[in-house]
Amino acid sequence: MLIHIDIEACKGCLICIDNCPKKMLELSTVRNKKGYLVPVVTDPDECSNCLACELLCPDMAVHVEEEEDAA
Amino acid sequence: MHPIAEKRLRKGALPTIFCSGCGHGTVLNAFLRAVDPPEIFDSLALVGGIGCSGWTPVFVDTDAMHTLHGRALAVATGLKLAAPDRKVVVFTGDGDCMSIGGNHFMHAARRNIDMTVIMMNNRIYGMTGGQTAPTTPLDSRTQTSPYGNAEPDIDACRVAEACGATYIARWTSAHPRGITRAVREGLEHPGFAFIEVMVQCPTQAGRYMYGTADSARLLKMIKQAAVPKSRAQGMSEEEMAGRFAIGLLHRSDDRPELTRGLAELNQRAAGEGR
Repeated sequence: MLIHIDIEACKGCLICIDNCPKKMLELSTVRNKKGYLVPVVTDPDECSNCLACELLCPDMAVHVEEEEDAA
Repeated sequence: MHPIAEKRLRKGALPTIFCSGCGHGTVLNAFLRAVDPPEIFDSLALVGGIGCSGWTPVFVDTDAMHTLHGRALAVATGLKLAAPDRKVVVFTGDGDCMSIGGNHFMHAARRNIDMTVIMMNNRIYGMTGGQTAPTTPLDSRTQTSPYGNAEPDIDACRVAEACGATYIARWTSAHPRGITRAVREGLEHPGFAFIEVMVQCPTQAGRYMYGTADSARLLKMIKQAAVPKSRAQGMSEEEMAGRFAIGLLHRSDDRPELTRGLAELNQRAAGEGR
Protein backbone atom coordinates (compact mmCIF):
# COMPACT_ATOMS: atom_id res chain seq x y z
CA MET A 1 0.00 0.00 0.00
CA LEU A 2 1.09 3.58 -0.57
CA ILE A 3 0.41 5.92 2.32
CA HIS A 4 0.63 9.56 1.24
CA ILE A 5 0.94 12.09 4.05
CA ASP A 6 0.50 15.75 3.12
CA ILE A 7 3.14 17.16 5.42
CA GLU A 8 2.01 20.79 5.16
CA ALA A 9 -1.67 19.97 5.83
CA CYS A 10 -0.77 17.94 8.95
CA LYS A 11 -1.30 19.56 12.36
CA GLY A 12 0.71 16.94 14.21
CA CYS A 13 -2.15 15.59 16.35
CA LEU A 14 -0.75 12.02 16.36
CA ILE A 15 -4.20 10.42 16.00
CA CYS A 16 -3.10 8.41 12.94
CA ILE A 17 0.00 7.13 14.73
CA ASP A 18 -2.02 6.15 17.79
CA ASN A 19 -4.68 4.29 15.82
CA CYS A 20 -2.63 2.30 13.32
CA PRO A 21 -3.26 -1.36 14.20
CA LYS A 22 0.00 -2.38 12.54
CA LYS A 23 1.97 0.30 14.40
CA MET A 24 3.66 1.36 11.17
CA LEU A 25 3.30 5.11 11.59
CA GLU A 26 5.75 6.94 13.79
CA LEU A 27 6.47 10.49 14.80
CA SER A 28 9.33 11.80 12.71
CA THR A 29 11.83 14.53 13.51
CA VAL A 30 10.63 16.50 10.49
CA ARG A 31 8.80 19.77 11.23
CA ASN A 32 6.48 21.27 8.63
CA LYS A 33 6.25 25.02 7.92
CA LYS A 34 3.82 25.48 10.81
CA GLY A 35 6.21 23.81 13.20
CA TYR A 36 4.34 20.55 13.69
CA LEU A 37 6.24 17.26 13.94
CA VAL A 38 4.70 15.08 11.25
CA PRO A 39 4.22 11.29 11.01
CA VAL A 40 6.33 9.03 8.84
CA VAL A 41 5.52 5.59 7.42
CA THR A 42 7.97 2.99 8.73
CA ASP A 43 6.81 -0.14 6.89
CA PRO A 44 4.32 0.40 4.03
CA ASP A 45 4.22 -3.35 3.22
CA GLU A 46 2.69 -3.99 6.65
CA CYS A 47 -0.32 -1.79 5.85
CA SER A 48 -3.59 -3.74 5.95
CA ASN A 49 -5.63 -0.99 4.21
CA CYS A 50 -7.83 -0.55 7.28
CA LEU A 51 -7.95 3.21 6.50
CA ALA A 52 -8.03 4.23 10.19
CA CYS A 53 -5.36 6.88 9.55
CA GLU A 54 -7.14 8.24 6.48
CA LEU A 55 -10.65 8.29 7.98
CA LEU A 56 -9.69 9.73 11.35
CA CYS A 57 -7.35 12.49 10.15
CA PRO A 58 -8.94 15.83 11.13
CA ASP A 59 -7.09 17.55 8.29
CA MET A 60 -7.55 14.91 5.54
CA ALA A 61 -3.79 14.85 5.19
CA VAL A 62 -3.57 11.07 4.78
CA HIS A 63 -4.43 9.12 1.62
CA VAL A 64 -3.98 5.37 1.36
CA GLU A 65 -3.99 3.73 -2.04
CA GLU A 66 -3.13 0.42 -3.64
CA GLU A 67 0.15 0.50 -5.52
CA GLU A 68 -1.64 -0.61 -8.69
CA ASP A 69 -3.99 2.41 -8.48
CA ALA A 70 -1.22 4.95 -8.16
CA ALA A 71 -0.99 7.21 -11.21
CA MET B 1 -4.46 16.38 0.86
CA HIS B 2 -6.82 13.52 0.20
CA PRO B 3 -8.33 13.75 -3.33
CA ILE B 4 -11.83 14.26 -1.91
CA ALA B 5 -10.51 17.19 0.15
CA GLU B 6 -8.73 18.64 -2.89
CA LYS B 7 -12.00 18.46 -4.81
CA ARG B 8 -14.54 19.48 -2.17
CA LEU B 9 -12.85 21.94 0.20
CA ARG B 10 -12.85 25.72 -0.25
CA LYS B 11 -9.11 26.27 -0.67
CA GLY B 12 -9.15 29.97 0.18
CA ALA B 13 -10.60 29.21 3.61
CA LEU B 14 -7.89 26.72 4.57
CA PRO B 15 -6.28 25.84 6.92
CA THR B 16 -9.34 25.10 9.02
CA ILE B 17 -9.71 26.97 12.32
CA PHE B 18 -9.89 23.59 14.04
CA CYS B 19 -7.13 22.99 16.57
CA SER B 20 -4.66 20.16 16.11
CA GLY B 21 -6.54 16.94 16.83
CA CYS B 22 -10.02 18.52 16.93
CA GLY B 23 -12.88 16.09 16.43
CA HIS B 24 -14.66 18.55 14.13
CA GLY B 25 -12.02 17.86 11.50
CA THR B 26 -12.82 14.15 11.55
CA VAL B 27 -16.53 14.95 11.19
CA LEU B 28 -15.77 17.13 8.15
CA ASN B 29 -13.70 14.26 6.73
CA ALA B 30 -16.54 11.76 7.21
CA PHE B 31 -19.14 14.24 5.90
CA LEU B 32 -17.27 14.85 2.64
CA ARG B 33 -17.14 11.11 1.96
CA ALA B 34 -20.91 10.91 2.40
CA VAL B 35 -21.68 13.82 0.06
CA ASP B 36 -18.94 13.46 -2.56
CA PRO B 37 -21.16 11.86 -5.29
CA PRO B 38 -22.23 14.71 -7.62
CA GLU B 39 -25.93 13.86 -7.38
CA ILE B 40 -25.70 14.71 -3.67
CA PHE B 41 -23.00 17.40 -3.64
CA ASP B 42 -24.54 19.51 -6.38
CA SER B 43 -27.78 20.02 -4.46
CA LEU B 44 -26.26 20.74 -1.05
CA ALA B 45 -26.98 23.90 0.89
CA LEU B 46 -25.07 24.12 4.17
CA VAL B 47 -25.87 26.26 7.19
CA GLY B 48 -23.66 26.86 10.21
CA GLY B 49 -24.20 28.66 13.49
CA ILE B 50 -21.55 30.20 15.68
CA GLY B 51 -18.81 28.26 17.35
CA CYS B 52 -16.14 25.99 16.01
CA SER B 53 -18.84 23.71 14.58
CA GLY B 54 -20.41 26.56 12.64
CA TRP B 55 -17.26 27.04 10.62
CA THR B 56 -17.61 23.61 9.01
CA PRO B 57 -19.83 24.75 6.09
CA VAL B 58 -17.36 27.54 5.26
CA PHE B 59 -14.68 24.96 4.50
CA VAL B 60 -16.84 23.08 1.99
CA ASP B 61 -16.82 24.39 -1.58
CA THR B 62 -20.58 24.71 -1.96
CA ASP B 63 -23.40 27.14 -1.10
CA ALA B 64 -23.10 27.86 2.60
CA MET B 65 -24.57 30.28 5.13
CA HIS B 66 -22.68 31.24 8.28
CA THR B 67 -25.42 32.54 10.55
CA LEU B 68 -26.04 33.99 14.02
CA HIS B 69 -25.42 32.11 17.25
CA GLY B 70 -28.19 29.62 17.86
CA ARG B 71 -30.16 30.60 14.78
CA ALA B 72 -28.82 28.12 12.23
CA LEU B 73 -32.04 26.09 12.36
CA ALA B 74 -34.24 29.16 11.91
CA VAL B 75 -32.24 30.26 8.86
CA ALA B 76 -32.12 26.71 7.53
CA THR B 77 -35.92 26.50 7.81
CA GLY B 78 -36.25 29.59 5.64
CA LEU B 79 -33.66 28.23 3.22
CA LYS B 80 -35.41 24.87 2.86
CA LEU B 81 -38.83 26.44 2.32
CA ALA B 82 -37.44 28.83 -0.28
CA ALA B 83 -35.44 26.13 -2.06
CA PRO B 84 -37.13 22.80 -1.25
CA ASP B 85 -35.08 20.84 -3.79
CA ARG B 86 -31.87 21.56 -1.89
CA LYS B 87 -30.40 19.03 0.50
CA VAL B 88 -30.05 21.24 3.57
CA VAL B 89 -27.41 20.25 6.12
CA VAL B 90 -26.96 22.20 9.34
CA PHE B 91 -23.70 22.11 11.28
CA THR B 92 -24.12 23.11 14.89
CA GLY B 93 -22.54 22.55 18.28
CA ASP B 94 -23.78 21.66 21.73
CA GLY B 95 -23.78 25.33 22.75
CA ASP B 96 -25.25 26.64 19.50
CA CYS B 97 -27.98 23.97 19.40
CA MET B 98 -28.86 23.17 23.02
CA SER B 99 -28.12 26.46 24.74
CA ILE B 100 -28.90 29.62 22.81
CA GLY B 101 -30.48 27.64 19.96
CA GLY B 102 -32.54 25.32 22.13
CA ASN B 103 -35.87 26.82 21.18
CA HIS B 104 -35.24 26.67 17.44
CA PHE B 105 -34.11 23.09 17.88
CA MET B 106 -37.37 22.12 19.61
CA HIS B 107 -39.48 23.56 16.83
CA ALA B 108 -37.41 22.41 13.88
CA ALA B 109 -37.71 18.88 15.28
CA ARG B 110 -41.40 19.35 16.07
CA ARG B 111 -42.08 20.48 12.50
CA ASN B 112 -40.12 17.48 11.20
CA ILE B 113 -38.68 19.70 8.47
CA ASP B 114 -36.64 17.79 5.89
CA MET B 115 -33.06 18.59 6.76
CA THR B 116 -30.02 16.89 8.28
CA VAL B 117 -28.59 18.41 11.44
CA ILE B 118 -25.11 17.44 12.60
CA MET B 119 -24.49 18.58 16.17
CA MET B 120 -20.89 18.24 17.23
CA ASN B 121 -20.89 17.82 20.98
CA ASN B 122 -17.63 18.56 22.77
CA ARG B 123 -19.46 19.20 26.05
CA ILE B 124 -18.17 22.75 26.35
CA TYR B 125 -18.21 26.22 24.77
CA GLY B 126 -15.01 25.78 22.79
CA MET B 127 -14.59 28.85 20.62
CA THR B 128 -15.14 31.28 23.48
CA GLY B 129 -12.48 29.74 25.71
CA GLY B 130 -13.97 26.79 27.59
CA GLN B 131 -17.10 27.78 29.48
CA THR B 132 -19.76 25.41 30.84
CA ALA B 133 -22.33 24.24 28.33
CA PRO B 134 -25.70 22.53 28.96
CA THR B 135 -23.93 19.34 27.94
CA THR B 136 -21.07 19.70 30.45
CA PRO B 137 -21.30 16.85 32.98
CA LEU B 138 -21.98 17.51 36.66
CA ASP B 139 -18.87 18.35 38.74
CA SER B 140 -16.75 19.15 35.67
CA ARG B 141 -14.18 21.88 35.93
CA THR B 142 -14.36 24.56 33.22
CA GLN B 143 -13.49 28.24 32.89
CA THR B 144 -16.85 29.13 34.48
CA SER B 145 -16.90 26.26 36.99
CA PRO B 146 -13.51 26.31 38.72
CA TYR B 147 -15.02 24.59 41.78
CA GLY B 148 -17.03 22.12 39.70
CA ASN B 149 -20.20 22.34 37.60
CA ALA B 150 -23.36 22.33 39.72
CA GLU B 151 -25.68 21.59 36.79
CA PRO B 152 -26.64 18.16 35.41
CA ASP B 153 -26.28 17.85 31.66
CA ILE B 154 -28.89 17.37 28.94
CA ASP B 155 -29.24 14.53 26.42
CA ALA B 156 -29.79 16.15 23.01
CA CYS B 157 -30.98 12.90 21.39
CA ARG B 158 -33.72 12.45 24.00
CA VAL B 159 -34.83 16.04 23.51
CA ALA B 160 -34.86 15.48 19.74
CA GLU B 161 -37.07 12.42 20.13
CA ALA B 162 -39.44 14.14 22.55
CA CYS B 163 -39.86 17.03 20.13
CA GLY B 164 -40.60 14.85 17.13
CA ALA B 165 -37.35 14.25 15.22
CA THR B 166 -37.86 11.23 12.95
CA TYR B 167 -34.24 10.16 12.45
CA ILE B 168 -31.85 10.24 15.42
CA ALA B 169 -28.34 8.83 15.54
CA ARG B 170 -25.33 9.35 17.75
CA TRP B 171 -21.73 8.63 16.77
CA THR B 172 -18.32 9.92 17.78
CA SER B 173 -15.19 11.19 16.07
CA ALA B 174 -13.77 7.72 16.75
CA HIS B 175 -16.46 6.24 14.46
CA PRO B 176 -15.95 7.98 11.09
CA ARG B 177 -17.70 5.21 9.12
CA GLY B 178 -20.73 5.55 11.41
CA ILE B 179 -20.82 9.28 10.77
CA THR B 180 -20.63 8.81 6.99
CA ARG B 181 -23.44 6.25 7.06
CA ALA B 182 -25.63 8.44 9.29
CA VAL B 183 -25.13 11.46 7.02
CA ARG B 184 -26.18 9.39 3.97
CA GLU B 185 -29.20 8.00 5.79
CA GLY B 186 -30.12 11.43 7.14
CA LEU B 187 -29.97 12.95 3.66
CA GLU B 188 -32.20 10.19 2.28
CA HIS B 189 -34.59 10.43 5.23
CA PRO B 190 -37.60 12.62 4.31
CA GLY B 191 -37.82 14.49 7.59
CA PHE B 192 -35.80 15.97 10.43
CA ALA B 193 -32.60 13.95 10.80
CA PHE B 194 -30.56 14.65 13.91
CA ILE B 195 -27.03 13.30 14.17
CA GLU B 196 -25.15 13.95 17.39
CA VAL B 197 -21.39 13.38 17.17
CA MET B 198 -19.37 13.33 20.38
CA VAL B 199 -16.06 15.04 19.60
CA GLN B 200 -12.85 15.75 21.46
CA CYS B 201 -11.84 19.34 22.20
CA PRO B 202 -8.17 19.14 23.13
CA THR B 203 -7.75 22.84 23.84
CA GLN B 204 -10.70 23.55 26.14
CA ALA B 205 -12.60 20.47 27.38
CA GLY B 206 -9.43 18.41 27.17
CA ARG B 207 -7.32 20.66 29.35
CA TYR B 208 -9.98 21.84 31.83
CA MET B 209 -12.24 18.81 32.16
CA TYR B 210 -10.00 15.84 31.39
CA GLY B 211 -6.58 17.16 32.32
CA THR B 212 -4.94 16.61 28.94
CA ALA B 213 -4.61 18.21 25.52
CA ASP B 214 -3.48 14.90 24.00
CA SER B 215 -6.12 14.48 21.31
CA ALA B 216 -5.26 10.82 20.67
CA ARG B 217 -5.87 10.08 24.36
CA LEU B 218 -9.09 12.09 24.42
CA LEU B 219 -10.29 10.20 21.36
CA LYS B 220 -9.63 6.91 23.16
CA MET B 221 -11.64 8.14 26.14
CA ILE B 222 -14.58 9.01 23.92
CA LYS B 223 -14.41 5.62 22.20
CA GLN B 224 -14.41 3.85 25.56
CA ALA B 225 -17.43 5.83 26.73
CA ALA B 226 -19.41 4.82 23.62
CA VAL B 227 -21.68 1.78 23.89
CA PRO B 228 -23.46 0.29 20.84
CA LYS B 229 -27.21 0.78 21.19
CA SER B 230 -27.99 -2.94 21.34
CA ARG B 231 -25.67 -3.39 24.32
CA ALA B 232 -26.71 -0.15 26.02
CA GLN B 233 -30.32 -1.30 26.09
CA GLY B 234 -29.36 -4.16 28.40
CA MET B 235 -27.28 -2.02 30.76
CA SER B 236 -28.41 -0.45 34.02
CA GLU B 237 -28.30 3.27 34.75
CA GLU B 238 -25.24 2.75 36.97
CA GLU B 239 -23.43 0.85 34.24
CA MET B 240 -24.23 3.62 31.76
CA ALA B 241 -23.01 6.40 34.06
CA GLY B 242 -20.59 8.61 32.13
CA ARG B 243 -21.25 6.58 28.97
CA PHE B 244 -23.62 6.99 26.03
CA ALA B 245 -25.31 4.83 23.40
CA ILE B 246 -24.18 5.10 19.78
CA GLY B 247 -25.76 4.02 16.51
CA LEU B 248 -29.18 4.63 15.02
CA LEU B 249 -31.30 5.53 18.04
CA HIS B 250 -34.66 6.30 16.46
CA ARG B 251 -36.28 6.30 13.05
CA SER B 252 -39.93 6.74 12.10
CA ASP B 253 -41.91 7.88 9.10
CA ASP B 254 -45.33 8.62 10.54
CA ARG B 255 -45.00 12.36 11.14
CA PRO B 256 -46.02 15.09 8.69
CA GLU B 257 -43.07 16.93 7.14
CA LEU B 258 -43.17 20.73 7.02
CA THR B 259 -42.13 21.44 3.40
CA ARG B 260 -44.75 19.06 2.01
CA GLY B 261 -47.37 20.16 4.52
CA LEU B 262 -46.97 23.83 3.63
CA ALA B 263 -47.02 23.11 -0.11
CA GLU B 264 -50.28 21.19 0.34
CA LEU B 265 -51.66 23.97 2.52
CA ASN B 266 -50.85 26.56 -0.16
CA GLN B 267 -52.60 24.47 -2.81
CA ARG B 268 -55.67 24.04 -0.63
CA ALA B 269 -55.84 27.74 0.19
CA ALA B 270 -55.37 28.71 -3.47
CA GLY B 271 -58.01 26.21 -4.58
CA GLU B 272 -60.60 27.29 -2.04
CA GLY B 273 -60.08 31.00 -2.80
CA ARG B 274 -60.78 33.68 -0.15
